[in-house]
Amino acid sequence: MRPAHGGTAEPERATPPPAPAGNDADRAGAADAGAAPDGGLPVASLPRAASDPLLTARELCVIRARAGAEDVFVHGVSLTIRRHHTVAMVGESGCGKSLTALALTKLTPPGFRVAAKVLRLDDIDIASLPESGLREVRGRRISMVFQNPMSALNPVIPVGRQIAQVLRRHEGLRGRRARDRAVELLDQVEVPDPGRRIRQYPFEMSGGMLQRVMIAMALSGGPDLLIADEPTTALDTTLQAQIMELLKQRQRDLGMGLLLISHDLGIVASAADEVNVMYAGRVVEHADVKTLFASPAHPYTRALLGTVRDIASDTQNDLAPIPGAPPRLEQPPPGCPFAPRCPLAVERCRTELPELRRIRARQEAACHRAGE
Amino acid sequence: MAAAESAIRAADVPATAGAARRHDWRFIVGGVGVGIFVLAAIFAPVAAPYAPNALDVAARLDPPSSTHLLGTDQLGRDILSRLLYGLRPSLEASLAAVALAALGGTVLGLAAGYFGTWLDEIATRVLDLLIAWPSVFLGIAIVLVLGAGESEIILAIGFAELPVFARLVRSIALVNAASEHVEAARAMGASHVRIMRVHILPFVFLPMVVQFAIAAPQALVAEAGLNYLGLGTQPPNPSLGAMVSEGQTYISQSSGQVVFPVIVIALLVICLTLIADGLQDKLDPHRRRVLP
Amino acid sequence: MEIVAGAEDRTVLDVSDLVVSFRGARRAGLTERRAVRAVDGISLRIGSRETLGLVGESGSGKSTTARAILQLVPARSGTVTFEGANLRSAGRNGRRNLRRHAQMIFQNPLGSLNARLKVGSIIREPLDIHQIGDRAARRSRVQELLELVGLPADAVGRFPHEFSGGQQQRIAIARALAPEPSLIICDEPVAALDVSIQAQILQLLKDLQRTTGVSYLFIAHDLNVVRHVSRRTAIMYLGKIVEEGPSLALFGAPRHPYTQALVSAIPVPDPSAQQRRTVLHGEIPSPANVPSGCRFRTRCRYVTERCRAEEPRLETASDGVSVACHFWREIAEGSHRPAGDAPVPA
Repeated sequence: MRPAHGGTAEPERATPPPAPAGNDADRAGAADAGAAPDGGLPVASLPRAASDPLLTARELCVIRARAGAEDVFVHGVSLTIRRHHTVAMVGESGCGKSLTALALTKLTPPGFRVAAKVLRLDDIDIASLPESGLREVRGRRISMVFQNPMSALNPVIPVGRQIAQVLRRHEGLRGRRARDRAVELLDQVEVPDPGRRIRQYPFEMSGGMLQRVMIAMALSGGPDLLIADEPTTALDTTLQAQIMELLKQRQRDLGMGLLLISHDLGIVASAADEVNVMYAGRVVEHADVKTLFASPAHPYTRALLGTVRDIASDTQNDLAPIPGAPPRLEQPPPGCPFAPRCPLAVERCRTELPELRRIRARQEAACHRAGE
Repeated sequence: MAAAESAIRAADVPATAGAARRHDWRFIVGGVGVGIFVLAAIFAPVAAPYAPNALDVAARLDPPSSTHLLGTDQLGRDILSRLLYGLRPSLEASLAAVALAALGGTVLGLAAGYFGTWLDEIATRVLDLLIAWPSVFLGIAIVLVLGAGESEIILAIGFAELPVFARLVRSIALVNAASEHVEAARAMGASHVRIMRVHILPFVFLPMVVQFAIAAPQALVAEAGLNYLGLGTQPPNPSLGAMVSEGQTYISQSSGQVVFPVIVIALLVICLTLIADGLQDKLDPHRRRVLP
Repeated sequence: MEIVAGAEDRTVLDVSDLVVSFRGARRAGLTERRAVRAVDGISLRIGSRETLGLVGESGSGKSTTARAILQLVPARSGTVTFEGANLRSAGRNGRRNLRRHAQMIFQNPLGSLNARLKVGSIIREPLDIHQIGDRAARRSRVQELLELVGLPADAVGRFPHEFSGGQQQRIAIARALAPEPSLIICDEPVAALDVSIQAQILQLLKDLQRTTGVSYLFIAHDLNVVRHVSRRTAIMYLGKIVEEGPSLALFGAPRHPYTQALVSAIPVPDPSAQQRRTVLHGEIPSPANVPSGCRFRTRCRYVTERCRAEEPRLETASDGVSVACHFWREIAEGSHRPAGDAPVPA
């Protein structure tokens, strides 16, 4: 049964806090014992204690310079991702979630630059890495999966060869060994008949199959962190479930951290441990997943959840949509960016930008009136 | 961070002024250049100091002087006057021929791209045939059939330039015919004519204009070439290409008859190409540029 | 027993055994071109002021159905009756009536609008095509429509790209409403929009149905959205309807294994909801290679030998839901066990 609008307080289970201990330390211990769960995991990067932060970002900004001015697309986002842990960035189009993900490995489009107080993977300071260092990190330590697999793959090269290119880059494999490894990777992502599939071209494969190929390629180097940007949006609903299941399974096997970018609250609810809600380039709420869905603090989160739940409810009642539209990032209004559409807005909201502040344990929100 | 941001925002300055100015000079220079030549061609009867065919055998092959500013040719005709009168057929050819190509190409390309199927198959084969022939040979072939003369070479050049226009229009028509807004129009009950007029042609217009500007200098050079071969304007009427051809033999004695028409052709081509370059930039600002 | 809409009991659209087939592409190695039946015998009915939802994944044939109804692709066989007129026999007049009183809105709002036309011309186009009213009348109708869909009056002079996705869809809706249609086919109208804008557009469509009495054929793959707006829903799989009936009954207790899988796959915005996901294995077969017997058998957990041999027919349950499955009663009762996870090979 679906919870009523607004949610009621859930009885506390033994919810793993954002810094998991207990089980995960055991898992990390097993990996330390030398038995790598997956043949591709290089010995040198065996995980340490799982509760250590894997990726840390503080005050991350993405700025685009044009003649005489700068547009800030992402304002001071902070993230902490750990192994075996899934952090989600949720928001609607234009909120800056995809740019944030790209900024983590400085993959932003030309004209955009990344600035951060801290941007670190384990002990590597990404913020100060030159391009050559970044290339070592991308694909090997931090990997990405994108929304539309068809456009991410080269249409005139068979799939197997494209996987082999990645393998040569990251594992130094060639020829028969690369091909066998490619077949093995496809098998791990449950592509049937992988020996035949590696000879096929992307257009011969369906969307769901291609996304599996993309995931296989992304995981081939045994990355510590996987960034999945709308991995299931282009797929049918039944395939979405399959792909998310696959991602979680591979995460468990490899002990990775997972950063999930999505606009779909349903997917986030089932896959994420911790959620960041973004609006107009800022994080407006940050909470562990249960708290967020049970007691959202920021009016935008509440309105969004309300809308999603109304549509998902098994009645056909009229909806009360959020009026208006998100602001254009180039002309942010003064004060809180959500104020023009917020049912709780007062004068202070329009003039003073609210900062993220702690509302309760494991929940922060950027709202003057949250928690009133 | 907030302080830094607000400092950034305070420095807001409108960005576009410098960018826009950069493109202008091409249009200005090219436009003025072509304009001057066009005016010269129009006002040739008034501006030319002599009749173009007026002979002055005593003054043959004279270098530039106060009486003949650019000198005379082998029959004592004033080169300047012949240049001015010779501009007309060249400009007419490049405009009329390209206009012909544009019109014919649009009709063919539209039909082929929009209706598709067998119409497209036939049209594409015809175009392939036309493109395979170098334009000069095509021009010669057509003139052989139709005879020599100004209108004949306009036709010839038009045919030679037509395939490029047709292919351009065809590809735009293909893309648009498959688009959702055309599907929406069909669902609303729009007739074929209406769809072509309202939903396809507007997308053809700008690329056509650019292609026009690109083809014009090509047509000019083709016209000069055909006239050089004696297939266009018949003597004694002047044309830039014919002047070069006639002056070749006497080049050691008086080079003006060759040099000046060539300079005029070159300048015209440069000006037209500048305009085309500027237009292409306006249409596609991310194009790789030779000139910054 | 059919649950019928209000006082106006007119049938706006009646489709019977519609079949649409294409000649398959020539493939390397194959010399013959197989006919692909994208739509293989569909029947549906929409009354006035009613919304019928049509659900299916890519490859199900739902978009082709819509286009065949609007005569944008030719139908191999079957009848389409619009406002009482059989389109096959009604000739030119019937078609013209269809083009005026049946309209369509598309998934990609910007794609369906001519980027070179101003919004006023776009909305006015159906009126121009069918020569409805004089210039002044058309102009005022456009203003009326802008207000109806919640767009500012000065939109007439602007271009589509100056508007957001949600506003562009409103423009498309205004255009569809211009000739006072009795049926609007909505092909994934909100799939490309953000959630908060989806809600706006869905509510707009509902309100418009109340004020104008228009009917909708609402095509979508998002089950929540479909359930929210449709009185009745039909589920399509590989060109056939496998389940059909009143939406709340159908989604409340899905009977066909495919519907059950679809419903269980809907992500629930609640982390503590224990989702018993019926994770469907495999993918939808190609329409060129339709499995014998029941088309769904290659992915069905309850498959038996009978499913391979015999194609199930639609049977109607007591609450008005029709199902095409040999064992739907037994599955609902729980007396037909799943055959294990392995699907039957084609």
